[in-house]
Amino acid sequence: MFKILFSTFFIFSPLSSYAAEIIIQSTTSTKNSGFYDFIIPKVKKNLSLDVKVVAVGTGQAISNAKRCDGDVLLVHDIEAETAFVKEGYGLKRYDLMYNDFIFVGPNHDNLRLRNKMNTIDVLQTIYESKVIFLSRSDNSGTHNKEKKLWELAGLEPTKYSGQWYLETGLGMGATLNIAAGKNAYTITDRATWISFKNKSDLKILFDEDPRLFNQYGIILVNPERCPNVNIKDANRFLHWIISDEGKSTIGSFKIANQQLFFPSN
Amino acid sequence: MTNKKEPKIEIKDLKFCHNGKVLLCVDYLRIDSPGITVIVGPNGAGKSLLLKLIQGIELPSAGQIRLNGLPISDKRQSQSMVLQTPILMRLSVYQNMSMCFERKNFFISASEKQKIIDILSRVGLGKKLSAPAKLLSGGEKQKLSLARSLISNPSILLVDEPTSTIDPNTTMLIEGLIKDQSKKGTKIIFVTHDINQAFRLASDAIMIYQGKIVEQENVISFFENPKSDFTKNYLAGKLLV
Amino acid sequence: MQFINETLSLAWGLILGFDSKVFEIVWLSLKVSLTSLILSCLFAIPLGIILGVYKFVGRNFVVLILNTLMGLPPVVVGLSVYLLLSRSGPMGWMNFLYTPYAMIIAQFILIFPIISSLTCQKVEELNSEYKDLFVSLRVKKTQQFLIFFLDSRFALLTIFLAGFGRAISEVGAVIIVGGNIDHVTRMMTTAIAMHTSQGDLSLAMALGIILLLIALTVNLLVFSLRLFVKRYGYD
Repeated sequence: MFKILFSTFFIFSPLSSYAAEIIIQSTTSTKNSGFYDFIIPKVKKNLSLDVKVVAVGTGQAISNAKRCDGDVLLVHDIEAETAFVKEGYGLKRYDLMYNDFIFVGPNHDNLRLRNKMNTIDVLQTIYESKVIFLSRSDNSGTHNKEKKLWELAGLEPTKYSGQWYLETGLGMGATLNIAAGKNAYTITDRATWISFKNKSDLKILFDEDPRLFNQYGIILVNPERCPNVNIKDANRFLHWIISDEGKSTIGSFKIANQQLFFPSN
Repeated sequence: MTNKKEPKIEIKDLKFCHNGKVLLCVDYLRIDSPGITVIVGPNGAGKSLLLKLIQGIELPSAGQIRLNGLPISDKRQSQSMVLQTPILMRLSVYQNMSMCFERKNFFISASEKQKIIDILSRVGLGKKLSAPAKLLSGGEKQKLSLARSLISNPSILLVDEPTSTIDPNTTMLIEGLIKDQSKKGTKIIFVTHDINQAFRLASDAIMIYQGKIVEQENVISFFENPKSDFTKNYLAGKLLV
Repeated sequence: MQFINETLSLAWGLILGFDSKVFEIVWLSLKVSLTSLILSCLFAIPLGIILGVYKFVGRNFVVLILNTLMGLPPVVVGLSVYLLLSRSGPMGWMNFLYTPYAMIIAQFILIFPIISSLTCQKVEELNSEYKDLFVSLRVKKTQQFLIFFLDSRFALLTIFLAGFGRAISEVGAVIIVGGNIDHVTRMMTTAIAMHTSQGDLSLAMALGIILLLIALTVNLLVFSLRLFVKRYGYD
């Protein structure tokens, strides 16, 4: 009796689960939205493959993958991804899916962002009125996108860091929690926003600008650099998810009747 | 250890200093007699200190102490000491005995266990084997402490005022146990400031005063015909310290 | 007020409904924490006793290091273990990263200094109490070791539980080396962190309440143990 109890106690699931498994280094937005909870059972059914997901910011996901701690990289920062491949850490990069970024802020919308024509106008208004704007500042895909947008508008908000431009250094969810608490403005990807539950008084104030396009890419970690990667199963996973079947699966993931990710062609 | 030629206890040029003050100074002391040697003297004379030095609890500033011709740190020594205030462990009465007992193997054998129970019965703790030692009365604690020292059947037993805070009945019992042990061949050094107790137990006696040995005699001449004035006065109860 | 009601009813529902997902998370937390705790006790308690009794060269240095390590930030431990177990790190071949074993290693490092340091303090105390006794009865060193272990058994249990408290409530290290992977390395604390970042505050808080209840149970055990120990003069 004691022996049985003892042995069940000290045996951990990885020893008793599928031998075939891959690790995905992923962004938080895909994980937090429940995307993987939806996809993983289908992968298991179709490929008999266990998928382990480590969700961190894009910057950290890439650096983890550079240390060979993952078989697949799934992030949303095309420049960083291209560099990752170019430096020889990854094999070919594929467009996997997309959605868009949105500006959120207090519902009263004193700045009338809802009426703005484009992203540049929105950023200029925020810049001039010095309302509290939260930046992730964690080298994530969303943060890099935000930096590019400010650059596009020709503005340098970092001069006001700590005044109205607040750099949280946290994940999207944590930053949204702060925005909800401070009634502040910030930029987020739509998937995280839809699945985020602590919205308080925050509302979408601006969206649907082609500049706010959010592209997710998928890359296999280069087995020449990292001999330990499970390239065989990673390859199976990649080819399934970019197949028509995989794409229709991505498209069928919905929360509250809203489609969160759109498969790329 | 039965080397008859060597003195049982021999002390040479012993000095113990603390904070620059000489607390004990013994030029030469030799104890050779069997039976019970009682060390008497007023409070603070250095009786307990002498005992602690012989046991090795305190280390001398100078001089040497030899028991049966060997230094006290020698592994072959078998002396044991009963402390003035018993130190008991947070264990049961039985465990307090067994844990300090020098057993042959890791586990205590049946005969060793019987030996422990026998000695606890002799001191009157036979029915309290599993009682927590810390909850015993003062007298019981002292009896347990004595039993712990007797179990190893030491060749020399040092006893430091075990009965100073104990009722007369228990005192008699402890004195009886010590006399029994003496008859078994254990040399006993007994410290007390109680002259009557000294008279009841002693086969010879040593008087200590202000860190010095004043007198060393057999019991009859010590009590009936003391040589030093100090001993005379102390025995007559005239001395106030 | 609404938030509190919602949280409490959710927590209650999770506990009474015996939610299988929550049970899995709690069970893994307990497994990992207890395993790391038992492993560290196995090594830390003898080390603590040795440090408490023997005065060897370099002993003070070891004690100093252990005391410093007691305040080690979990994130630093997590990062070090991550670099060690990373596939490109020196122990990458073991394939422990993102498994419960990685979390056990991280927790082991976190708890070890606490257990050994507290044991050392306790044994030092006992040693000064029993020093005269050991000389007066000429108790052998090996036997002294056993006495320290037995005599401080209730104190050791309290120390054990202090280590458990640190292990079960820790998040910084295990989230880095475990990765908070569903069904594999998701523990109570990492799940709380995750649900907070998803803005699901009431679910996070409900899990927090379960964690609190476990801590309460553990402390209740310590408390009743103390009463028992006092009653029998073992304190």
